[in-house]
Amino acid sequence: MRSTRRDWLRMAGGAGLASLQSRLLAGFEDWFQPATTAPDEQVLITACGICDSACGIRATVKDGVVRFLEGLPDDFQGQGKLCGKGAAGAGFLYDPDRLKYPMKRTNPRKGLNEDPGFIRISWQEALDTIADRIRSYRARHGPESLLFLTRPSPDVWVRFMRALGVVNRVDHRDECFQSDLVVQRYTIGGKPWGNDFENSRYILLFGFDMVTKTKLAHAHGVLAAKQRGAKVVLFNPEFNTTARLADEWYPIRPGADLAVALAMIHVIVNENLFNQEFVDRFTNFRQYEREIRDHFARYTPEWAEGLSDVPAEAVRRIAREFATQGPAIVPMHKKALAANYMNATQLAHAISILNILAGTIDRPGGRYFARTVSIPGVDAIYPPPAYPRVEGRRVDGTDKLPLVREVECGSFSTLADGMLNKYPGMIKFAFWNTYTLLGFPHPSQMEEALRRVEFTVVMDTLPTDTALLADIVLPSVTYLESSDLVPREYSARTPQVVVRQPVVPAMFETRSIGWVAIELGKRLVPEYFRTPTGEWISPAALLDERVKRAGLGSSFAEFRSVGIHTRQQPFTPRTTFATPSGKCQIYVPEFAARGYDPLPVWKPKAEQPSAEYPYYYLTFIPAIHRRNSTQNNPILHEIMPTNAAIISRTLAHRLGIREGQMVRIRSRMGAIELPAHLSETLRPDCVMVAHGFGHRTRMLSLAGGQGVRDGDVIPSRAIEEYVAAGNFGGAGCIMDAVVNIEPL
Amino acid sequence: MPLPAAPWYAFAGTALLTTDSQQLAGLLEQLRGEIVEDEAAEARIRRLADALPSEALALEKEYTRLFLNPTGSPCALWQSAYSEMSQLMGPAHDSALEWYRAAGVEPARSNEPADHAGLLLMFFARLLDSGADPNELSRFRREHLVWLEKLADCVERHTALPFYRELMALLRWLVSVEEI
Repeated sequence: MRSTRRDWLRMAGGAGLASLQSRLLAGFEDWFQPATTAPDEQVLITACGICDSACGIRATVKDGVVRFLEGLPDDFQGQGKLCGKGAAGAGFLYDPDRLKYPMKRTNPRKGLNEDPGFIRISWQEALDTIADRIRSYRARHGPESLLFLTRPSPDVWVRFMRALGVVNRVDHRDECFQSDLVVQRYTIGGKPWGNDFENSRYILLFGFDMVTKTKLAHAHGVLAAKQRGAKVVLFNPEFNTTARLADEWYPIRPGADLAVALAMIHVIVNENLFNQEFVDRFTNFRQYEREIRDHFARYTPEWAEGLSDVPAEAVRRIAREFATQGPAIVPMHKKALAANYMNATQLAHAISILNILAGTIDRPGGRYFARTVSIPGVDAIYPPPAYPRVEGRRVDGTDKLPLVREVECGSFSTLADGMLNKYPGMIKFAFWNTYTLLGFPHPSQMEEALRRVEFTVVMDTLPTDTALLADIVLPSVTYLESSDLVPREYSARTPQVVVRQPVVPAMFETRSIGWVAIELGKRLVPEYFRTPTGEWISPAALLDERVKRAGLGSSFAEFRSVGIHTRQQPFTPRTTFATPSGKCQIYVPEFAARGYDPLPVWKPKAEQPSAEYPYYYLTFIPAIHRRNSTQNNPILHEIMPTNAAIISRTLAHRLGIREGQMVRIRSRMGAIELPAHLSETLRPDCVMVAHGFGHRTRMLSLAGGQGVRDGDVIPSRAIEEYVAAGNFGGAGCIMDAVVNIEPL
Repeated sequence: MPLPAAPWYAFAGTALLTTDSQQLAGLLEQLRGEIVEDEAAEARIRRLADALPSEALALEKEYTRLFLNPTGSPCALWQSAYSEMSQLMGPAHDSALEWYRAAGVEPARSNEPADHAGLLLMFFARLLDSGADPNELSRFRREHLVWLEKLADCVERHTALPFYRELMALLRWLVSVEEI
């Protein structure tokens, strides 16, 4: 067909199209140009950006269009595979609903049911307006009036916020792994992202669907270990995918994981089953032996059985096996039910102790610190002037949780309380980067808080509910249009870096958050955005410098043509740890010095079943989705378009609920109505609802109006509750709700 | 029925690529000067000109609302979005790019998918203007213009702005002519 067309076109117009007959067609020249590119096909290496695992990708690109995504064979993280989300990645890139151009609001009334009256504006106008607002609020109300809801990356964005003296930067990690981050800093000297399941002989999982709801590297690891004969034990209220391959599964009572972990420590310490060599050489056990032995004496398996429904004999046996049949490992990570109860800080400490007693910290078969290529940040490459002192009030109240401040996290769960009740009117300006209202417990409360902010900027790839409340919307690139260097963390016994490169040019007028940071920085804090020779910092030059200094090549262009770098080196276990004492700390004196428990103590979850609310409410992220950001992907939408209330058949029979029947789930916070899905996989005192659904905006043509928001029945919190409950790691408490269920 | 003249397609394409009321009003004036078809054409131009909003931002707001998402059902401007998968850069994009390249051109803005309704109309106007073979015109129409009925359906369902309603009426007329 192509030759036919060429033929007639040649006949019609010689070289291309014939001369213009109409003045109206003069505009053609504005929209078309002589063809300069020829059809081509290439395979490019890049890194996924859907979750932090960032698995390596081979992207087949033909004629400037992504045709196929597959795993990168040499990548440690994905091990040549992609998960369902990763394989469907082009669906994010080519979503017709994408935000395409900067826009500004023309309707001053804000609300999910208000038409913002957006109009398209230039990037210049958007950036100038945002800079003016920040400048004005900062001068009149101080840096505490600025709220940034964003992950702490990229580093130029961090530089921008630090240069402004931003006090209130908040991210979602309290609903993820924050308590583990806080605790392990003091117990083993940092959070290890690596779990060496491949070499484990005993894998113990608390509230964790490791095989389907975690990183591909970890799922591969558990499966490989299982094939080699490792034992897998799971405590979880739901018989999930991991339970299907586990050797033992216990339907534990929600929130009682801590009791079982404490009882296991009791058994191991009481019977001296711990790894003597490791414990004596690398921990502070002997220094605090009496305190430790006395402390755990009370937590017997019989005591734990009464709280957890796990038989005492099973707890005792599993503890013995764990201590003697290793290498043994207990991972703790996000997406685990256990990481999200009010008592998760104590649980993180208990789990850390179990790993220490097993003697597998940074050892084969245990949790280990990633061996990475050192990639210098912007501050190392272009040292900044001194940053201003961070002064002001924390709107989320985390100034009452100093250890949370040390790891520079925040608290989603207490943010609305701070904005509405503690410090009303304090936040004048908010910048949201890729977070949505759905990510918060009790999203309506957060909506109300956001509605009262004078000026809000939302940067995202999709028009989320949050965008509806924005004064300016900025269109973001997807990971398939971005540049970065991504070191391996989840599977990194030897260092490896994978490139992230734009496999296609950025569509429409989308930009990266790093570019925005630099452009805003030039306008607001220019002294922080110049190189030592006085030029503006450029993303491209910064990447080139990183590549050079990390020893990956002479330029980013060179490294992107290679795509992956692996440095062969032996795995040498650590003998000193980055804690204050240099040892693994079972007893944490720094906790005691702050008035916290130096050893983990039993605390119940925040809310217990009652006559009014007799059931535990659990929420989960389905394997096929990532939080609340993938529901508009056509493939993932087709696989799982909506959510339902998962209820055990036993409970459903008792309540007279049939499959598919609408039910109302009500907590002290609110109610949701959705169809019931009956299952044999759940404890009869629980109901489970998948997170990520219930987008209100019709802007998302597939996800909009589908399902309900799980968070509508989850209470938001006041920081005082955390302090009173000993939740000094700031765990987000999104699993603590109790509810009533009634058929409709 | 004879095929409408190329300037009609050029105008429709431009109106789907820009929200500059003044520019569109100017193009309608040019159209009036160039088109001497009949009274119906004259009436069509008058209706479009009369429907152009006087408020400076009205067109911009409605264009953003209809085509660039925020609030309301989106009416995508890209042919691929109307395929089964409802994704950008689908087979329609590839085909459009092939047509353009065969003519020795390509979209000037590399970040704009080639199957944008405005680009397709503009390109068809150019083909028509350059006296292309009727069979090829017919084939382009089948492959890349017929779907505009769906766009018109969507816009008519979701807009009350007279200009876009008139524009969709124009679009339906331009697409409805089968004999080339």
